[in-house]
Parts: sequence; C-alpha cells; structure tokens
Amino acid sequence: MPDPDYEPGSKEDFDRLYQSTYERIFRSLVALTGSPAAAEDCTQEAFLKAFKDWKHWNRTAPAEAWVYRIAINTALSHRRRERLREVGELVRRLGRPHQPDPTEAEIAPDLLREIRRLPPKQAAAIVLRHLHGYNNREMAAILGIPESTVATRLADAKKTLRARLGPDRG
Amino acid sequence: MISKNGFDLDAQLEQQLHRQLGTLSGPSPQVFQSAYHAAFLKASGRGLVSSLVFAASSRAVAGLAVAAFAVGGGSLVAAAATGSSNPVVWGRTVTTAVQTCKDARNRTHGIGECVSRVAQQQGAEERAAHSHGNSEQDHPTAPSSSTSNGHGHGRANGRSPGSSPGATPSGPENNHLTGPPATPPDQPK
Repeated sequence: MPDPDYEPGSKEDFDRLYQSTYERIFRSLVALTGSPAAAEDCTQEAFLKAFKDWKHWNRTAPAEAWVYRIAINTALSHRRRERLREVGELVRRLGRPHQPDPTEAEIAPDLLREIRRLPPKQAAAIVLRHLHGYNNREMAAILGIPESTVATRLADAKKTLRARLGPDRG
Repeated sequence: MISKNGFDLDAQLEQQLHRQLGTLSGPSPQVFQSAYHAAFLKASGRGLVSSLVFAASSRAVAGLAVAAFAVGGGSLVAAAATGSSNPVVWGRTVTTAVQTCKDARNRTHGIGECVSRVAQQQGAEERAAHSHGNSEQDHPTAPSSSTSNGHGHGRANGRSPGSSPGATPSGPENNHLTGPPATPPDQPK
C-alpha cells in the first residue's frame, strides 16, 4: 500500500516519522532489551540507520513498518551482543556472588523477564501484538515475513510463556 | 486464550505490557536531540556553531554583531562598511561623511543617520574602486580628500541618530579603531 504521507529522502518527512513513531518503537525495544537505557540507544541507532537509507525507502511499504523493522533488527542485534557479553561476564564472575545490575532494576517484573527469555523473534511478535495491537498482516509487513510465520511465532511464544507464567507452572 | 485453570495469557500480556511500558517515554524524543539529526548536520557541514546561528533570530545575530563591535571587533564591521581593511581608510571615509553631512545640513546635531548613510555609500564606492584594481585608496600614504589628514579615527556605522559623530581626524596618530576615544568634535556655539 503506497504511503503518500512521506517523501523518500525528505528530512522534514523523516522528522515527522521520527516524532510519530519514536514512543512506540522505544517501548517495544524496552520490552525486547529489558532496559530503558539500552532501548534508547537502540532506538537512536535504528533511526540513524533508517535515515541513512531513507532516500531508498520503497514507498510501497508503510514507512512506519519499515522503520519498525529496522528497530527490531537493531534490538535483536543488541541482544545477541548482550548474550555474548554476558557469557564473558559469567566466565569472569565464576565463584563470585552475583551483583545485580542497577539499570535492570527499573524493568524487572516476571512477565518482561520471561519475554526477554524468549527467542528474540518470538519476543518481537509478542510485543507487536500485545503492546501495540498490530494484526498478523501488519506484523508480517513490519518483520518482513509471511503471515503464517507470524502466527507460528506467536503460538510458540505463548506456549512457552504459559508454561512459565501460568498457574500450571512448576 | 483462557486455560482450563482460568489463566488468560492474552489478557495478562496486554494488561502488564501496557501497565509497565505504556507510559514509558525516552529521554530525547526531540528531533534536534536525535542521533540522525546530528549526523545530518555533520554531513551537511554544519556543526554546532552553524546550528546555533540557524537557531538564532536575526535580532540576536544583530546583537552579537553590536557586542563584537563593542569589545573590539569593530574593525570587521568597519571593514565591511568601507570596503577596506585599512583603518586609515575607515577614518577617512567617516571624516568625509561627517563633513558632507555638515555641509548639507549646516549643523552638527542629528546627523548620525546621515553620516551612517553617506559612509556606507562611500564604502560601496571604495569597494567598487578596489574591485577594479584601484588599490591606491587603501594605501596609508595615498593622496586623500581635502578633509582628511590620512590618520583619521572613527566608526563607520552603529551610531544612533542624534549622537555625537565623534569621528574627527584631529586625534593622535593612531590607526586603531578600538583604541582610546577620539578627540571630541567641535561643538557649534
């Protein structure tokens, strides 16, 4: 579906896109990264990447979905880096008592923690559906995958969450 | 979907995600604070100074120019007004302008605006002459007009109407615009 609201390459239009999508993207990335600070970094990085490629944006895809996809991929890359860093930290901390990271104390309830434990692509699907209310077609456009894959990811994620959070757990 | 134990995961997800993240906002949602905007400014060759200049109003820019003049940057303004980098030319231009205005009005009060206008006009002529290869005007020892001794003081611009011209050529031999004040002008009785 063409997006007549934005002109590829226009700085002013990109500014509007930033202002209209920033909050939603930031919240999604908080859920995916588990940290507002990391989410802020990823959000800024994502918009920077998007801006560099803005003149090549294909108008047949909604601009918001396009920038959302970049943001989610950025967050997923961040998570991969974090995992690698955590492995290194774990090796260094062997034998020492665990010191909690104060930045993680802001967002630490069970649900978010469990979402973070999901495979990243499943976590992204959960956030897009249940935080922002996107339907499968919209999520397919955002994630760049078939609708059937969206449905599969959602089903797998819920199965895992239900097992971990539901009353039957344990 | 509600499980057999009454656990509605969908409702829990929506409720908790909205409660925990719904009101969360980032620290810098403004465009001018964003990383891409900074990259844009850098790529277009406009750094912090340029962005500040763009943000400032024309009045603020004018205020900065006046302030720069007051603290000693007047040479830049004078040079711009007279079209010469030589302080001798600045003084000569203003001296000529003052005399022209005195002759035209036969008085010395309220000629500030006139002096400013004439000085700018002469500056334009200086620039035109300079651009045609006539560098004689900029030489301190070059012949000058009858009203100048070649060592004038004064400011070509920036005086309010009605203020004392304060730009006579009778001061000490000093070519600095920002130096001691010029000798007060002769006041008519």
